[in-house]
Amino acid sequence: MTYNPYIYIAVMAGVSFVLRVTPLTLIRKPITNTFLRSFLYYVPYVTLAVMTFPAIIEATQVPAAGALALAAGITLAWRGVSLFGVSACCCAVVFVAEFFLVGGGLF
Amino acid sequence: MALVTLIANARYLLMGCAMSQKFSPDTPLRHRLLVGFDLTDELFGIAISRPGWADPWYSYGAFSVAMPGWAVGTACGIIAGQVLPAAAVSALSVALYGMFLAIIIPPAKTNRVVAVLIILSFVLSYGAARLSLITGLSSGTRTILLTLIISGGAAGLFPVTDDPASDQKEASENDI
Repeated sequence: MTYNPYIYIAVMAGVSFVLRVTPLTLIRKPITNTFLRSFLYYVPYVTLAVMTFPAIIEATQVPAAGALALAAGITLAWRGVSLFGVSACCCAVVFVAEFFLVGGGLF
Repeated sequence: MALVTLIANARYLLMGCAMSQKFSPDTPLRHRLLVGFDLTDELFGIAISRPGWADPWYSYGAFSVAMPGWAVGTACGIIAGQVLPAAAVSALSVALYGMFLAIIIPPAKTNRVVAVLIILSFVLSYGAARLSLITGLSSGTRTILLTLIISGGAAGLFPVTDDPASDQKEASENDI
C-alpha cells in the first residue's frame, strides 16, 4: 500500500482546521461560569509565556544571547515600547551579543 | 497520523476557546470560520491583545500580510538554503518571542496575578523542557499540558470576578 502525500496533507489540514474552528463556532455567547471565564482569561498569558521560555534561549547560537534578549524584551515591554519595537530590539540584542560571544560567527 | 496532528495542534483548541470570548456574540459564522482558519500563535497573539471586541477585519489585514509572508519566506528559505549568515538567522529567530513578550508583559504591570503566572510559566516551562529530555514530550504537548495546569490552577485560586463588559473596558484603557 502506497501513501499518497496529498491525503496526508488533506487529513492534517482538516484536523487542524476543525480544531481551531470548533470552539469559535460552537461558543457563540459570553461564558458566564466564573471558573471557565477566569481560565480563558489566563490562557493567552500562560500559553505565550510557556512558548517563550526556554525556547528563546534555545533559538540562538549561544543561550546567553537569548537570555539577554529575554531581559531586554521584558524591560522594553514593561516600559510600554510597541510590539514591533520590542521584537526588533530583541533581534538587535542577539545580533550584537553573538558578535562578541560567537568568535568569528559573521566574518 | 490524524491523532498526532490533533495532539500537536491541541493548543489551538484552547486559543480558539479564548478567541471565542473575544468575539462579539453577534459575529456571523463566516467571520468565525475565516478567523479560525488562520488562527496561529502569532495571529492569535496580536488579535487577543487588541482592546475591546475582536474585529475580524483586523485579523484579515494581518492574514493578508502574514500568509504571503510565510509562503514567500518559506520558499526563499528552501531556495536560498544556507545563504543567510548564522548570525542573522540567530538574531531573527527571537523576533517571535520578542513579540510574545510585548503582548504578555504590559498587562502584568497592572495585574499582579498575571505577573506571577508569567514567572511561574517560565519556570515550569523550563523544568518541563528539561524533563522532556527523558520523557520525550514534544514542545506542543508541553505547551498544552502546562497551559491547562497553570491556567486551571490560577482560575481556581484567583477567579476573575468582573463582568465581561468592564473587562473589555479595562482592557481598552490599559492598551492606550
